Amino acid sequence: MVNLSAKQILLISITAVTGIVILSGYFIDDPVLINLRAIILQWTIILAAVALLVGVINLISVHFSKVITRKRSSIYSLVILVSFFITLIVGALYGPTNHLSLWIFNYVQLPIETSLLGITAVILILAAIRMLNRRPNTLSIIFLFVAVIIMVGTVSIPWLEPSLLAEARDWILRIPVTGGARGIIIGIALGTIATGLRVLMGADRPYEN
Amino acid sequence: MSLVNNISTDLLGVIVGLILTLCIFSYIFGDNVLFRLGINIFIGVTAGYIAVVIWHSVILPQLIGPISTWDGSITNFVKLIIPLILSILLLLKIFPRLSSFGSPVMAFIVGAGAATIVGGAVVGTFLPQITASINLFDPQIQNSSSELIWLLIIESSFILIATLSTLIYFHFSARPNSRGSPKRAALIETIAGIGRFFIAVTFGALFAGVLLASISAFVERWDFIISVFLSIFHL
Repeated sequence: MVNLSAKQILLISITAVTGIVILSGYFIDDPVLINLRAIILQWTIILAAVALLVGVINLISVHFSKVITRKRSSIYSLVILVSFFITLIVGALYGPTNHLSLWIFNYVQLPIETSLLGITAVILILAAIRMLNRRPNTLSIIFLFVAVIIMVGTVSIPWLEPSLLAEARDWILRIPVTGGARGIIIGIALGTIATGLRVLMGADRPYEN
Repeated sequence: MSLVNNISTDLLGVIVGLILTLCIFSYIFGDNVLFRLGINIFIGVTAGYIAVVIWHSVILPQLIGPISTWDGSITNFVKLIIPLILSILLLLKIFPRLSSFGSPVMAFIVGAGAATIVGGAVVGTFLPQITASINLFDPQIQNSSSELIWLLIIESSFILIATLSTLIYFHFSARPNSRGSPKRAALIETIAGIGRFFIAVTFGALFAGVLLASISAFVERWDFIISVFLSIFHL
C-alpha cells in the first residue's frame, strides 16, 4: 500500500479527471463530453504555451545568473542573452512575420540549422566506420549493407546498372523494412499507451518535481 | 535609397550566414570556440523566436485578445478567466518558493497531454498498423493487385513474420536459469534473433534516409560557401 499525502491525491485526481474526460471524448459520442473535451484542449494549448514561456524564462535566468556570477565560460551565456534579447525585441516590436524578424530567421537560424544537419553527414559516416571497427559482427554488416543498397539505389551512378539496384532498394523498403518498421511502430504505440496510462493512474507523477 | 538598403541588408545577411556556416562546419576539426559561439547564438535566437511566436500566435489571440474584447457573457467569462488564473499560477513556477502553486496546473497539462497521447496512439497508430497487417491477407485487395497471388501471399507472410519477430524482440520478460541469471525462454530467444535481423535492416534503411538528407544539406551549404567566395572575387 502506497502512502500518499493529501496534495499528492489532489494532483493525481486532477490528472485522472482531466485524462478521463479527454479519453472519453475519443470513444463516447456525447455532445456535452465532446464540448467539454474541446474546452479542456483549448485551455491545455494556452497552458502549454505558457509552460514553454516559463521554460524560456528559466533558460534566460540560468544564463543571466552565470553572467552575473562570472562563472567559467560565461561568455557563451552572454552570447545567448544578447542573441535572445535582439530576437525578442525585434519580434516584440515588429511581429514574427516582419522582414526584420524574417531576416534573423533566414540569415541566422536557417544557416545554422542547415549546417548542423550538414555536419551530421560527417558524424554519421564516422560513426558507421567506428561501428564496423569496434563491432564487426553480422548485424553491423547487415545494417551497413542495407544502408549502402538504399543509398546507391536512390542516386544514379553512371557505371552501375540502375534498374537492378533500384529494384533491390524498392524490395527492401517494401517488404523487410515495412515489416520491421511496423513492429517498431506498434511497439512504440504500446509503450506510449502503457506510459500514458501509468501517468493517468498516478503510478508516474512527473508534475511533482 | 530603399534598393540600396535592401542590397546592403541582403549582403550583410549573406556574410552573416557565411560566417555562421563556417563556425558550425569548424566542428569537423573537433569541438572549438567558433562552433560553441555558433551553437549559443542558435540557442539564443531560437529561444527568442519561440517566445515571440508563442506570444503572437497563442497567448495574444487566445487569452489576452478575447479578455480585452469580452462580450459580457458569463459563460465566456468563465471560459477565459480559468485559463488566465491557471496561467498566472503556472508562471509562479519561475520562483522557487512559489513553484508548488504551479503543480496543480502541471498536473492538468500532464493529464490532458497523456490522454491525448494515449488516444492518438490507439486511434492514430496502433489500430491503423494492426488493420494494415490484417489487410495484407485480404483476398479482395490481393485479387485487385496485378502481382501473382502466391507471390503476394509469400510477401505478406514475410512482412507479418518481420512485424511479429520485431515485436517479440522487445519482450524482455525473463526467468532465472540454473545459475540464477535472468534468461528468456528458448522459443522467444530464437524469434527475437530473427527480429534482431529485421531491426538491423530497418535501422539500416532509416540510417540511409537520414544520411542522404544530411548529405543534401552538406552539399547545399558548400554550394553556398563556394558561390559567395566566387562572387566576392568576381570569378
